[in-house]
Order: sequence, then C-alpha cells, then structure tokens
Amino acid sequence: MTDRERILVIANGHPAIAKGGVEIVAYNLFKEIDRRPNCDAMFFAAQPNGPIERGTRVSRRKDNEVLLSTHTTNFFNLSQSHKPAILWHFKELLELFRPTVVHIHAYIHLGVEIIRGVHNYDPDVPIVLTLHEYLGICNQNGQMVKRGSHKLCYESSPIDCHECFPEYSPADFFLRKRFIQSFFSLVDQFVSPSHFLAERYVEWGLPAEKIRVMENGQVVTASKPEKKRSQTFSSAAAVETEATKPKGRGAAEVGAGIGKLRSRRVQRNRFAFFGQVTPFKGVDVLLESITRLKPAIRKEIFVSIHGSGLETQTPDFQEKIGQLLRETKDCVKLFGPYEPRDLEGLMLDVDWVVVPSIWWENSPVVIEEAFCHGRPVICSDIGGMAEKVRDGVDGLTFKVNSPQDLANTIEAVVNGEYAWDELQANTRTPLSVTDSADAHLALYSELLRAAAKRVECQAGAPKRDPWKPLEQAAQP
Amino acid sequence: MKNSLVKRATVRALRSLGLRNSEYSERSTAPFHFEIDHFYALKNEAYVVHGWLVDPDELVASLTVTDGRRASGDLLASAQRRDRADVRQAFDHLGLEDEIGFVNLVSMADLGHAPTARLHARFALTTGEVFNFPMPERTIEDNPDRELYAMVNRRLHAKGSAAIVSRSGRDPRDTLESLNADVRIAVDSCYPIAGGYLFLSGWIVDLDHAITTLKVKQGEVLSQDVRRNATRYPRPDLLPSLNGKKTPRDNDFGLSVLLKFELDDGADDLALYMETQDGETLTLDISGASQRLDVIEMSKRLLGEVDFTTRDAGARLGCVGQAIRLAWQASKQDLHDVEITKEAFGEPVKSPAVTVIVPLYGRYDFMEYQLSQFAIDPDFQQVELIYVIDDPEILDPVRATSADLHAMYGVPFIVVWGGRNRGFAGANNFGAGFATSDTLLLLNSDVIPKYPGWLSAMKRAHVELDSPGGIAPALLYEDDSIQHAGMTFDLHPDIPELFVNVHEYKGLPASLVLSQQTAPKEVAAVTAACLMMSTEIYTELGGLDERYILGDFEDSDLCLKALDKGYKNYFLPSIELYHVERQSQNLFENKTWKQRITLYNCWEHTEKWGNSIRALKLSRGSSD
Repeated sequence: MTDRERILVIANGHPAIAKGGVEIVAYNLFKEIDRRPNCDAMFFAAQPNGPIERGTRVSRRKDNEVLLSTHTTNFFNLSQSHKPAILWHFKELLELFRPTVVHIHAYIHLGVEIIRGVHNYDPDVPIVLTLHEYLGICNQNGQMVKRGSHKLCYESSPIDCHECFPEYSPADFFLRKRFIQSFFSLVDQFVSPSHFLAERYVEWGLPAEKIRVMENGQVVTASKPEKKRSQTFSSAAAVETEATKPKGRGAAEVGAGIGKLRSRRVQRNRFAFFGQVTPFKGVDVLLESITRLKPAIRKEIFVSIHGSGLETQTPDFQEKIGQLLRETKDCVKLFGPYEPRDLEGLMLDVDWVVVPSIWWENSPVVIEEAFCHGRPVICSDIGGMAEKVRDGVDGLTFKVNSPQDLANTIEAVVNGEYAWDELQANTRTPLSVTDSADAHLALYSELLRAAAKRVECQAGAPKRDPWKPLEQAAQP
Repeated sequence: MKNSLVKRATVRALRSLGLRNSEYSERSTAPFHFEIDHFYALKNEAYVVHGWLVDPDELVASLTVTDGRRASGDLLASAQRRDRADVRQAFDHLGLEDEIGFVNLVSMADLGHAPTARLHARFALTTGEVFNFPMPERTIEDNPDRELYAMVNRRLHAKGSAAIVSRSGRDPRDTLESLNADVRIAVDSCYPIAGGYLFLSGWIVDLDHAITTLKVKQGEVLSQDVRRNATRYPRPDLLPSLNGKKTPRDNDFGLSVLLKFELDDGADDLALYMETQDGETLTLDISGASQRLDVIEMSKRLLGEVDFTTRDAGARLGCVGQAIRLAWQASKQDLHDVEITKEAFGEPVKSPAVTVIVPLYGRYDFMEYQLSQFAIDPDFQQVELIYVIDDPEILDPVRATSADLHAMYGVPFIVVWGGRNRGFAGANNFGAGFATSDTLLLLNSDVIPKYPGWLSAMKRAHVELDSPGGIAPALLYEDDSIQHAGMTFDLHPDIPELFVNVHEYKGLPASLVLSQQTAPKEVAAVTAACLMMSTEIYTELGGLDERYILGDFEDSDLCLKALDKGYKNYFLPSIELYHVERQSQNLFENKTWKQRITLYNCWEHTEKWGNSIRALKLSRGSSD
C-alpha cells in the first residue's frame, strides 16, 4: 500500500460494553491497524438496545470509535428492520470516513444490510467479512446444535430447520437462506478462523475460493511464562514409574509416545474452566465427569470454574449446575467472572484448561489464551476445538458431551499417564495481534489490487446487451 | 398466539356483541373462547345447540350435551359450520374461511327428554380436563335464522316430522295442513341476487302430482313456476318420513332454481303461491326465509348446500354456479368511485425491456425477499417493476417501507393500489394497465429467483419463439422438487363433468425432470406465477378473466384464450426459479370451503373451455 489506507472495522459490539470474543478480536485488530503509520482506522459497532440520546442513534466513543444503537434486528433472517440505521447513520459515517477497505466482523444486531450499505456507498470498496459462528447457516444461535436435544447438527436444510423451529415453515427457512446469501454475494473475501467453520460455509453455498482461513490474533505476553511449579496435593501419589503405571486410556498410541509418563515428582492436577456458564459451553459435562471419579482421584484434584452468566440461564439449568456444584464441592469451586487483566494469574495457577463445549465452536479464544500461557488444553473432540488442539501433543481430547470419557481422561492425568511438561513444551505460540494485523493488511492490499484490476477490465470490455438475442449481441 | 391478545379480542368482541362472556374464558388462561348462543328443545324431538368456538391450539377434543349420566355424541364433529362475521371481526387472525360458528341437533331421546335446565355443555380438552358449562335457555323466536330452519327441516324430516316452511303463515289458515292434497314443501334457502334474480332451494313431496302451479309471489308479481328449469336431485333423508307410502322410482324431491325475480326489499310479503288440481290455492309466507348476504357469504352458503359426493353434484353445481357467477359479476360493477394511487420509488426506467407485475396480498415481507434478489441482478435496472397492493390491510405498511426498500436495494419500482381488493386476476389486470413496455411478466410475490439473468434469458426466448402466447420457466419448491413444469388437463376424479388443471411432474426431483429437456416445449398451459406474454397479446385477450373466485384457473384460462387465437404456449425448462407456494398459516383452515370454491372455479372453467380442452386432447392424441 503506497497511499494511506482507511480501514473501517465493524463489530457487533464494543468490548468496553460487551466482552464477547468477537468484540475483543475485532477491537484488538482495529487498534493494531490504527497504530500502523500508513493507516487510518475507524471502529464502528452496534450497541444493542443502546440509548437514543440527543435524538440520534449514533454516539461517539472516541474520534475513531462510533457506536450505533440498534433495537430492531430481526433475529430470524438477521435483517435490520429499521433501514434508516443503515441508510442514514451508517451512510453518513461512510461518506465522512471514506474507507478504502471495510472489514465486518459480525452482522448480528446491525443486520446483514450493513454489507449492502457498504456496497451502495461504493461497489468497488473491498468488503471483508470474518465469520465467527454459524449464524448464517443456523437459526439456533448459529451453533448447529439441535434445539432442545442439543444434539450436534451437521447441515441445514429447510425441512430439518423447520423441525427444530416448527414456528417457521420450511419455506421461511428457504427464504432466510436466500436472503442472507444475497448479501453475502456482495462480500469480496470471507475470513474464517478455523478450517472447520470454512468447510461448513462452503457446504452451505459460499464459493470455496472466497474463504480464507486466518487465525484470530491474541494479545500475547512477551514470552511463554516459566514452567511454574504446581502445588502437590498428594505427595504419595506423585511417584510412579513406567512399570507401576496402569495401562490407561490409549496412552500408548497418543502422540507417538510424547505424552507418556516419565518419572515425575510433581503432580499437575489442577483443572480450570474459563468462559460463559451456558449449556453449550459444557460446564455441566465437566461437573458430571467429576461426580464419576473415584473418591481417591477426587482427593487428588482441584477444579476451578471461572465463568459468568449462570444467573441468566434457565432455572432448570441453574438448578442442575447448583446440584452438581453441591455434589462436587470437595474438589470444585465456582469463582465467577474475571477481568482480562487477571487472566494471566488465573491461568498460571492451573495446569490444564478444560474446554468441554458441546457445540462445534469455531476458534475458541480460551484455547489461544491457554496456549499463550503454556497451558495444555483438555477439550471436546469436535469442530474448531479438535482442529486447534493436537491430542497427545499439546493437549488431550475426549468424546464430546461424554462425562465418562472426560472422567477417564482426568483419571489418566491424575495417574500420571501424560507428561505434562512435554505437552506444555509443545503448546504453540498463538498468532499475535501484530502478526494478525500484518496478515490482514496484506489481504487488504491484495483485494485493493484486484479491485483496481477489475475496474480497469470493466472499463475496457465491450458491454453485451442481455436483452438482445445472443447471436445479435455477438455481432458488432 | 398471545393469550392476552385473544383475551382482549374476546372482550372486545363480546362487548360489541352484547354477548355474555363464558365463565370459563374469564377464569382460565386456556386460549380458547366460545359461546353457546342458543339451546332449546324443538318439537319434543331434538335439542338445538347453536354457538361458536375459537380454538387456535385445538385444545377442545369434544363438546357434548350431558345431564350428568347420559351424554350426546360429539357436537363439533358433526356440526353444521358457518361463518360468524360478528365474532370473527374481533379476532385478528381469523379469516373468511374460518367457520367458527356451529349448529347441531341432539336427539332428545338420547338424553331421556330431560328438561333443558338440567343439561350442561361439556367440553373435554386434549389435556384431559373436562369443563361443564351451564346451558342458556332460549326459544327459537329469539334466533330467526333461516339456515337453522333449513337444517332442522332436513334433520327432523328424516325422522318423520311435519315441515316447517317458516315461522308461521301470515294467516293461520294458510298452512299446508289446510289443503286436501297430500303435499309437503320446505324452503331451505332463498337468496336475492343483484340484477333481479332469486335463488331458491328446498324440497317438494307431491307424490300424487297434485300441484299444478308453484310460483314465488310478491305483491301481485309472480315468478315462473319454480319447477321449470329447476335442478332436481334426490333427498334420501326424506324417505323415512313417507311412512311406507308408495315410493316413486326416483326420489328427486330436492329442488334448486335460479329465478328471474326482482325482489322488493321494502316489502315483507314474499310468498310461495300454489294451485292444486282440485282448484285449491294457497299462499305460504316465506318472507322470513329470504336473506340478502354479501357475495362471499352467499357463495359459501350456496356451495355448502351441494353434496359433492353424489352423482348429481355436477348438475347442482351448475345451478348454484350460475347464481354465484351473477352475484360476483354484480359485486364487481361499482368500481368507478374507488381511489386509485400510484407512487414511484426511484427514477422510472426509460424504455423498459419488460414490465414485471407482482400482486401483493397478505404477507408483504415477500417484497423484501424478492427485492434483495433483484438487487443482485443487473437486469432489474432495465425493468419496470410494478407492485400491486391488493389488500387494504397491507396498504399502510407497504407504503411506509417502500422508500426505504428502494433506498436499500436500489431497484426502481412503482406501487399501485386499485382502491380495493380485486382478486388475483383483477390485480394483475389493474397492474398491466400501468405497463409501458411491450412485454409483461406476471410474477407471484413468493417466486424467488435462483440466479441473476433469468429475466433477460426469458425475454430472449420470447423473442426467438414462434408465435408465443404465454411462456413460463421451471418453478421449484424450496427442496428442489418441481412445482411447475407446464400444465395440462384431466377429468376431475370425482365429478367427471369437470376438467381440472394438472401440474406435470409436480413433486419430482427437479434435476430428474429438467435434465431430460432443455429446449422450450409447447404445452397446453403454463402457470401465471411467472408468466411472460407480449403486452399486445395480453390486451388482445382481455387479460386474465376475473370471473374466478379467490385466484384459480386464471392462468389456464389465459393460455386457452391464447391457443384459441392461434398463439402457442411454451414451458422453458432451461430457466429455473423457486416458488415457495404460499402455505396457509391459518390454523382454522377450512378445507371444505376452499375445495368448494375450487370446484366452483373448475365448473366455470369447464363451462367456458370444456369443448376446447376436449378438442385439444383429441388433436394431441391423434397427432402423437
């Protein structure tokens, strides 16, 4: 990029107001781009149910951070019912900032019309859309998990979706898909943080050549933390040799022996969950696995739950979690929400980060954070999780939604079947925000060059009149 | 549905009606509402139950009459259904086809002739709950309802009672019993029809052929004999009441007739005038039997009289069909005073390649679904797109959102409103009146393109084809099966006098059907859901025929008109769009009423085109 580029980054919320993974990723990328000498960046985000003050939906957070209060998203077809939000407020911003590239991180709350808003402003401005979930495909909060039963779903279709949501007809689902796809057809480049998610969208109908897999950037601490010595809960169980070690769960075939136990004096028996306490994040799977452990094992371990949002769940789910917490209070403690600045300390105080989600996930931030801090991950063996964690190399996977398999895994860990130090040594260093910004800026340049070329080609090419019969049109 | 909404609606309905609310509806949160309007004993033979039920969640499993020990059969299952416009208007979600009113009879013998005060209505719910509701007690005089008389006549006569011609004769001596001759007559329905007609139906038992003259009379005006040109049909329900009398070879006691007779609404002396071979004369008051109804209600009642399972259904349909046709023609005549509006959104397209006409009725969200697709199709920058509002209910929302939809999607269009609901044919014809291009495309709002460029491809085909009349592409359901791949005709499975339209290959996988053919194919008819025709030919043919009720058969009618003038209709298998045929969201869908309207339309269509279709079949058959 020779000239100064103006990059507009769009998100579903501002991390100062809502600390969702997408908001943080988008905002960090925006800040990093804004730091670059040849770039101006603007952050534009929805503020769901935000205030309408001074007679406008728009509010300034900083000179290059603008919020739009939205109240009228149709969550079925992801449409913005209040069109002036796009036609006026967003248009004004576009005309003032004059972006050379627009990067949209989420359209929920804004409406898929945000894409057309950019296209209407200038069809030659490249549009990048990062897909963070399966919202376009799935009406069940974009999770591709069956409503009610929470069974994994592999593919959408009008009739199957109608079975999940009988209140909408198959035709409604057909219209939903056609509607969303009409906007997606205006996007120049899709970005997916995982191969798994990219594949789902290709199956759904996006052209494979338009999707690029690019990992989300993380705010990486200077280097991997030192291997902090863990407390020993039971010194007696700490000493085990190859000979006395019981043949555990598939230990032999795991990671070509990398994870096998050598003689160890230190136990790595502290497990933690980080994230929202919702049915889809699988906290109940983790707690249930603890109830299935032998008392001797339970004495050896400590499980901390760092998560928020339980109070907003259904009474049934709250009751289930409450009951499980009572049953496991000897070794489990619920700590509740945490601030991002506390994360490092919390991570360093545990040995394993457990990600027991029962939905596919995309690229869970918590896995990247765990790797940032050199913590091996124990996660469900599906989707974006299985893609990010190499079983027996830098973590362990268990059968999704199977408390028994997770219990077996924990027991194997306690029995010292895995060499924590080696798994830890193998944890990859996540992509930093700086590297991610470099990659994105390179992508933008590529798109800008392609756009310039397209404009050039169109200017030179003779126009065919589609209304004339083909043989006539072929004649000069 | 929100309970509170229904609750509010019910309260509103009841207030406006001055009806009592049922205690159950007051106390319970169960989202169903009902009223037993009338309950009385009739002639020591039967209890009559008369009421309405709004039960969107289908909670009510049965309604019986009980004295605590004995109970009747389910009244709802065998009830005569009827529209209750008064109640319906209070429930936003109810439509004309929702026949929430019911009337039924319970044999008094079944309940030991218990006094009405001892009886209860019992609602059994699908949840297992049972609720008893005390019956109101009223007499028939409170409820002068002709249709009810007709049913009482039918039901009770089957059990051998005397006929009730009307409440009573004007002169107490003017009764059938005063005659020497053994004749019985009943008038089931009597509807004045605009343009000076009277539709009459009922039955006559005159085994000795005693009646020489039987006419409708008002003042000094007499009709022709009602038996002349009448459609006669069996009434097996009357046979038991003959009490062993010699039975005629045919028992065509039933009678329906459309009389040329100008009724004076101001006078209340409508009567049946009768002469017998013995020289007796009798004037029977039937003024109470005559009912002036709006055209839809009357169509429903008339079609409701025909038993379509019998062999004479075709003939009876012919009789009521003529009455319905006259009524609809009359209802369409006063259009001169309606307010017509036209609003353009975006710069009107200069010399458009095609005029696309889309009628909007009910769901207007289809408009945005369509525009979001048209927006990604460059063809639509050269198209004159006309949305025709054909539903007063959606007038305001469509007008309110049109400017935003244009600004968002960048497709220019115009919105026209014909001042009232004109029906599918009327709306298309009205829209065509605004066309400035030489080619029309009639398009349903629930047709969604599969890919851009389909319209210019269709136009190119239209230009290249030999004498095209109507041409239409392949239409697919959302599961990629065939909705439309050309139409042909076949005999109606139950009523062999009628031809029905047949959608070829409907429901089969589109890939299977369309891979066999790519070239345009000459067909008998194509669907109007997406039909292209030159504006000139459309005008020459008079557009879509507006005689059909509620949208049906107009497309095949148009195509048959085109064939008649020497044009050819084509199906274009190489162009595909989706058609998410409107699925009724209505929980009360009364299939019978819709099926009956379809049969009426079918009758009209066959009346007009039966010979052409037969000829078409023959010529196709011989050329094969």
